[in-house]
Amino acid sequence: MNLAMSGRVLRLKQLATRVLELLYDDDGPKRLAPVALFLLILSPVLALSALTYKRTDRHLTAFALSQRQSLAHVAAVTVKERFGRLVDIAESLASRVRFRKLVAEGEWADAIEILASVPKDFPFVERLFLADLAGTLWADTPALPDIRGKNFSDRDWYRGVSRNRGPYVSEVYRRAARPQYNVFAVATPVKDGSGAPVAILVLQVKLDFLLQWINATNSKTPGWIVLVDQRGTIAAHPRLSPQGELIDYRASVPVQKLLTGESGVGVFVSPMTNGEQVVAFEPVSEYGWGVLVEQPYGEAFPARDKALNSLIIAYAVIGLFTCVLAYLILHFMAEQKRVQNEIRKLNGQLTQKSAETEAANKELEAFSYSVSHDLRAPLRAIDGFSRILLDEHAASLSKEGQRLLKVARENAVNMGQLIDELLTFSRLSRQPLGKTRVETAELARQVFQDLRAQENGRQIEVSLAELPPCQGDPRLLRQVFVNLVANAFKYTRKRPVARIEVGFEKKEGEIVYFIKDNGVGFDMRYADKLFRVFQRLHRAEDYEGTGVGLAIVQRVIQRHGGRVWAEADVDRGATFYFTVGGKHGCS
Amino acid sequence: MAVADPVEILLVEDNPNDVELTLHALKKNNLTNRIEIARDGAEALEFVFGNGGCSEGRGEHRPKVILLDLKLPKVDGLEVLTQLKSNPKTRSIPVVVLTSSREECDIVKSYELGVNSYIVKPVDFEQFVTAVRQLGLYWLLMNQAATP
Repeated sequence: MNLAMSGRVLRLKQLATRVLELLYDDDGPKRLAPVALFLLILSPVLALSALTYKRTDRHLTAFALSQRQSLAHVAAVTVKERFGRLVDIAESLASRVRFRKLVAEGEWADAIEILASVPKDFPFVERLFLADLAGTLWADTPALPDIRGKNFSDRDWYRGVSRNRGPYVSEVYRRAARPQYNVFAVATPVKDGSGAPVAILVLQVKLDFLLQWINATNSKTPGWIVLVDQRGTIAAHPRLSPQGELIDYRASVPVQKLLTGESGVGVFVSPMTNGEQVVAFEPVSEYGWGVLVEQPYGEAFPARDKALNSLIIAYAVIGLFTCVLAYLILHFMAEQKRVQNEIRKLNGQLTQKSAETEAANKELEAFSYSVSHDLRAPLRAIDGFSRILLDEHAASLSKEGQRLLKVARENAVNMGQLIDELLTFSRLSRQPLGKTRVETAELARQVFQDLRAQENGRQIEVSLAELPPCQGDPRLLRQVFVNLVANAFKYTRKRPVARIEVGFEKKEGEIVYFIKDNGVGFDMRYADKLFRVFQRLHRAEDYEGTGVGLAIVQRVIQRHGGRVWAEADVDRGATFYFTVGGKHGCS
Repeated sequence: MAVADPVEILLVEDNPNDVELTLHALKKNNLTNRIEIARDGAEALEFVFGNGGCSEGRGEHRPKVILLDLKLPKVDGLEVLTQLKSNPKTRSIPVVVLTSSREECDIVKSYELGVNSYIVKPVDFEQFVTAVRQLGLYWLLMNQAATP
């Protein structure tokens, strides 16, 4: 890439950056951006369509115009040929030997007789006559009355032929002889043997024939072909009667141009209709006449206009499509921005909620702290003072009084336990769950060892399977085992031999641990109350307890994503099952 | 400074019930001869350091063991502990925190500050009496105190 190119690329990059800066700020697209983007997407389409329209317009117009020019040219050539033919005829007539001889001898009447059949042979020659060199008509055929002896030296044909000293096609004029047709004349000198002119032979052609010839040339191209003579008078016009009034057309600019010998095509104002016209014009060379191809501007370009309309429709469709596209893009961008805002807002809310939760946890923490400390003190006082009462004032108390005090004391102790367990329970929900690999077998073994020590004097048979390890919080899981094992010990107290089995089953891809005892069991009808806080299925005097142990177990297991349930029969022992962490809890 | 201080036990406790119970327990174990009660942290510090503060002055005392509750008005138990353990003169006096709080943070902080023992006051009076007896027997009779 040479320097010029890289410079251009660099500038493009700068431009792009500046555009992006205009459109975007830190928060995303600015408010003006949609409009700008819309215009940005739309403008190339608009530019392209405008350009194409202009180009197509130019081309089709040029084509239509050139079509007309060709037509003018063809017409001009046709007229020139006809004139040429006319001149040839005139010359050949004028140079007929016998005719010349008669003219030279002055026998003009006879001479003209020879040409009497000409109008029949050449229908477009309406009349022929002979005039002397001064312009006076002496013989004609067909013979018209009151015309012989009239001088026509002011006629154009006379002046022209005299000027040329050769054949001449005249202007159009209204002839003097009756019927007074509009004609034009082809005049040619009649020469004698030595080549000196002795008379002028004039062929008159009715303008009607011109009109015929003109109309014959045009086949497909729309437009009128107008023929004007060397004076600018209309010789043939498709809308005018050839025998009507002769119209001077020099007011038309193309005619003026024609008279200067110019050819061309353009848009001009018609002096007849005052409307705009497309006119192609070409002189009939050598004869000074001219051909115009006229058409009102509005009708001049049907093909072009149709094409342009199709173009407009096509571009309208494209434009519409682009608008839709632009709209979709903008909508998408707006959507994105909205989503981002939404996300930001949600994040903010989340942060706020986290902060609130943190604060709530801290409050709870502080609350638990005071509970654990401040509630125990009065309990201690109750227990202590009632004890002192019992110890030192037993004398003044009856047996019943002593029993009552004992009840009070026991309740105080009970309440202390309740407080402890409630605190544990509440802490469990707040503590973060540490997930590590827990050697469940070892854990169970340790718990048994610790709790067994407190059950001295009892016959206990324990069967402990090789429990597979799992993922969880070791401290919390230890609590689970402690509670379950303690229960097992507690509810088998009345059995002579307590049998406790700890094992596991593999069900549907997950490990289910269980602890089974042969204790007093419970009624399955109330199984759903098992894990509720403070709910007990046995009398307090039979089996002590606060009713929080199993609630703690359930809370811990739930936090690990597992399930806990139990099956039992009254007086036939109970089995407690639990999973840790569902499918991915244990390997 | 007295050679053999008449005060053997400094009990720092704001709760009058707990004071009474503790005294009762000590009495049961014949350990109440020389007990001084401080009802808050400021009194405790005043007792140990005397009126002049940390410097040498009259009224300083050196008990054989200080039984310290944590929740005290005016000057907090942990603050007292800090002061006792940071002063070279009093650093070697055994301090036993005797409190109802089982909170982990209290236990940890106390040990970090150099407490010699941390006992949680049981609700059950029997147990409380046992605990006090054990405490008293240990710190007053078994433990070798440092002579100043």
